[in-house]
Amino acid sequence: MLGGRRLFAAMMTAILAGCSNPPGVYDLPLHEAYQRLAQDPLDDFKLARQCGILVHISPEPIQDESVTWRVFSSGEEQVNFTARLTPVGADKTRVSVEMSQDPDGTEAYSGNDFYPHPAFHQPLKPAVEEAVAAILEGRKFDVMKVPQGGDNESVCNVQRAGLETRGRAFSIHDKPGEWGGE
Amino acid sequence: MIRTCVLAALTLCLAACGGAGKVYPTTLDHMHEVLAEVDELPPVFGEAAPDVSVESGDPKQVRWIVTLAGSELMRFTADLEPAGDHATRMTLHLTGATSGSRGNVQARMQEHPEIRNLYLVAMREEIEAKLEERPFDITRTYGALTAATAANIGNISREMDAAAEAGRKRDEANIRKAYADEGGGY
Repeated sequence: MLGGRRLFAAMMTAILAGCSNPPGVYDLPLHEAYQRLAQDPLDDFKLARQCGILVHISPEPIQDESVTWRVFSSGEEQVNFTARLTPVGADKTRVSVEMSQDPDGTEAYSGNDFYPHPAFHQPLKPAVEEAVAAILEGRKFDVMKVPQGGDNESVCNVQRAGLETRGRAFSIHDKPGEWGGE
Repeated sequence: MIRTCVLAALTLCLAACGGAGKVYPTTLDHMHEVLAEVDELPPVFGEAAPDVSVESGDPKQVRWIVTLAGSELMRFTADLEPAGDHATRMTLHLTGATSGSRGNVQARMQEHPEIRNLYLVAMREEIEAKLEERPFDITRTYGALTAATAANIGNISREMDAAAEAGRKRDEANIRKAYADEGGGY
């Protein structure tokens, strides 16, 4: 009898687990998901994850298909990422995040890439995915859900510390030993 | 080394034999002389960093007046009395200020006896370190520290959260200022 109860409990657990969405799928019709993302400048994400250069994020939506956010600093694009939407039935939408590539053909800000003036903490993709999830789930961006960076985070940390403590930014045009705004 | 061990053992033995207070294997005059030289507070006051002044005019008493920004917070009083030919009993008291810029400290210590006990244990260790000519040993306060922390973990967590939140807001304000200074240019 006890074994039967345990089996029943296990079955219920399995059934209930099956009710939740798989990663990247949201309980929103495609058009509503698109509308939520299309105009969002990702401010919370930017404040939480930027390094020491000032970055400006500009969304470029394609109706009911995708939103690409381009990240600029000093007028030059640093990185971009795209949320691509596909319908899952009538009421759900799958959103997959695609990152731009570095000149060597690998994913930008993948975790251990070196940039002299990085725009964001790494890895960037999970942070973008959390930003997208926060928007679609109607909540604040939660930095605690984002994995921490690897060994190459020191440049980002140092430059961000300067921005946080003194409100003075670095620039992508700074030479080694220089600090923009000094 | 042997002298220190003997002194420590004797201290423990005499302490176990004592009633109120604790008996130390030294003369009252010497005890008073050493206590008058204790001019530092134990490191259990956090970032508040209060000042301390020592009053030792009474040959049977030493008092440490703890002040913050000129206002008395509390005072430790060590009452001394002979306990044999070469032993002195020290009874250590702690009294909080009942008025002043920090309000009724005495009442708050009565509400939180675990914190009062921590201060007493730590001050006693400060005194004993001086008597035994050794550095302050924080491990001797761990029992009292654990009790005080456990009893106040909610407040401590809230204070830490508040400090972290204040730090986060300050950082964010500086970042926003940098964007404002930039003038919104891309």
